[in-house]
Amino acid sequence: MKITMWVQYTAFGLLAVAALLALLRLLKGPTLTDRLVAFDLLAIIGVGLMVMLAATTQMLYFFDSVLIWSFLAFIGTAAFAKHLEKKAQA
Amino acid sequence: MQVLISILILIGCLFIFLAALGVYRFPDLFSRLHAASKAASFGLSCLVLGVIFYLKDFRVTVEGVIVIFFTYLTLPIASHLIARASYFLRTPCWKATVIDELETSLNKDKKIT
Repeated sequence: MKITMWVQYTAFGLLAVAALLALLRLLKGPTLTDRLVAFDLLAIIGVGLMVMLAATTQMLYFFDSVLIWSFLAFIGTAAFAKHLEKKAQA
Repeated sequence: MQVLISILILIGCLFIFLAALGVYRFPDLFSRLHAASKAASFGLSCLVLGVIFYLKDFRVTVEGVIVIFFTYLTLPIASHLIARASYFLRTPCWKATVIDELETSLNKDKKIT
């Protein structure tokens, strides 16, 4: 039982266009926090791409890196936001 | 079964794409944050659920459930921290914003102390 090629192409295409839009916002974003939002979304898109890669290549090791990746994305975003908040209140 | 897996994966990717579209198109930081946190967490959980049903492996199932749980645990916290930081950095709101409840509540706190 395999996912049909059509589903694979559509899923990867949607994720790629989503990554492109998030990158455009990362380049454009008027303020620093806009870029932080785009970075957070980009990390989620990376998790989605890794999950799709694990499904299509049948390599289950990708799922381990999905765990680490989502954890690190949260730590990075939270630490940066906390730093910005401290800088704003000082 | 294959139809269910395809539908779950496609819905997940579609919602992640819609989150990115919202982040690109919305006028103001707080509405962008709204798109990025909710739609992306729903899409990611659908995608991981579809891949769990597809791969049918014990370890993948456990790790996928952990990923879904962790996403729903941490994404709201991260977006709340971003919103708080950007509020204190005085990021300008969209010009059609109606109400700012945090400002009144902060002023009330100031009057009490």
